[in-house]
Amino acid sequence: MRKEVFEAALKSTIPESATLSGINLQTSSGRSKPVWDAKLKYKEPLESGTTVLAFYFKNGLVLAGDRQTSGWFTIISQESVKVHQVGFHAGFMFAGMVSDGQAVVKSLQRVDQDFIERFGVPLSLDGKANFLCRFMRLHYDYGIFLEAWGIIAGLNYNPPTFEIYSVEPTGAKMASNDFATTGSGMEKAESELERFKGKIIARSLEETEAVELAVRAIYMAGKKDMGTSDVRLAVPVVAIITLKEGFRFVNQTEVQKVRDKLIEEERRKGNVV
Amino acid sequence: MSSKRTKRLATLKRRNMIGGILSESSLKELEAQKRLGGSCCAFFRLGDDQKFLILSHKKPELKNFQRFIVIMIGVSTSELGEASEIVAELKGNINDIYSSQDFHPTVALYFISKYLKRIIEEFFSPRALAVDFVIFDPFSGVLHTVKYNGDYETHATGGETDGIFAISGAYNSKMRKELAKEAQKCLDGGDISDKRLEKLGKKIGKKYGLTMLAVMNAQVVNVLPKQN
Repeated sequence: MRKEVFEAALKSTIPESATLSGINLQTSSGRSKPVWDAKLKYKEPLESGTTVLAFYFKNGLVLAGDRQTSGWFTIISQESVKVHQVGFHAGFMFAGMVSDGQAVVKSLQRVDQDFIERFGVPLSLDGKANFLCRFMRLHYDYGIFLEAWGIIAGLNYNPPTFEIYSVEPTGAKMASNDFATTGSGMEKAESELERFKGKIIARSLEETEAVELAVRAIYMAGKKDMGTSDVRLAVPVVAIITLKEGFRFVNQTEVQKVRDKLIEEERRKGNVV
Repeated sequence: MSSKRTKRLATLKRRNMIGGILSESSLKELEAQKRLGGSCCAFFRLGDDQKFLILSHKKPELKNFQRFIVIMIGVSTSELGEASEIVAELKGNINDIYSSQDFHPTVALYFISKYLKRIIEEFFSPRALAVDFVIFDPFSGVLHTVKYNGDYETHATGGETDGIFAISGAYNSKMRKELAKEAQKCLDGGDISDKRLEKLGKKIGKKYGLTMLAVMNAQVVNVLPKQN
């Protein structure tokens, strides 16, 4: 095999964003140097104490996230959207450093677009998750890991199955059969989802039930966690992925109705003043 | 491929530098075409029957990737080995960066075409890779044929299209014409059985000195999609 020709052809087949060759800069001495240098301190000092979650329901997947971005003890924003679409059938959510998370989201969106434009077929969820792990792992190898704890969820095309993966900054990838949560409020949300674990595994939750459960899990996390927004102040973002419709955000007014119903219920029980 | 054209290109090369470089790649192409000669792979579809008829000097390479197949036709074992190796290496690279699910026929087509084009363009490669590629996806009914110089064609073979044939290779124009005529006869007669195609292959092969004949049922590769 003609190695140089193979490598040149491969470089044009696999997008730059996937091979990550773009993150190296040539210094004057000719040695390569990573763009993200710890000493430069480019990163925005926003660390989002978050609650994001994903779980299965009857027709697909539910993804939900709170709205708060905090920097130490200050709330920077109550309007952040932490659920992102990274493909027709794929969504990504992250907790941790906002700038790192945004870089990961952009990279995932770009790699998906590149793949479709080049080959006319979308990238599978496994492909996206593997790419993401490699992306994280390469940064970790440089010594400056991306502080983004992510959940990537969506559809695999061959065979068509829904999958949820949790991804860590070190490049670890874990598949989940029931639900996945991450962020500072993950324990509270998890204990709420744990109550419905049987139904989630059996894929028997209806869409309305699933949205209610997602809002309730975020509500429970917001009650006890400092980094998660209170659902009474900020309506959580909920998205749904189904085989037919792909990724879609649930209308905010619908989520608001669910939220109001939940708060009313809690008030009746005396849990909310 | 006439000797007249080869001579003209050689003269052009001698006369000026720019023409020289350009004709260098043209000569490489011509030389590969000459070596491939009558080697060909013909695809037939009639009703539910889908068959390949391969005529060559060497045993063709076949790679089955569960969802599609790649057939390589060449005239030397080393070149066929190289072709087979680059396809396998590409699969490994796609698996490494994305996943095994993402090795689609279009990915293979894009890469193979780029690779073959680069060999022709690259100054330090003395010879082109005289191998023709046929990529067939039985699920979507799409047939891609890639020439030794990286040019490719895509044929829709599924759906309502019936009674069709597609020929890849056969750079001997006389032979190509004859093969096309015979292929059309087969389709008109409504018979593309193994026996009929073998008869056709033997007839053409004997006339043009192609020793290797293979008739292949395209459905044998129609395996179930890979489980996760």
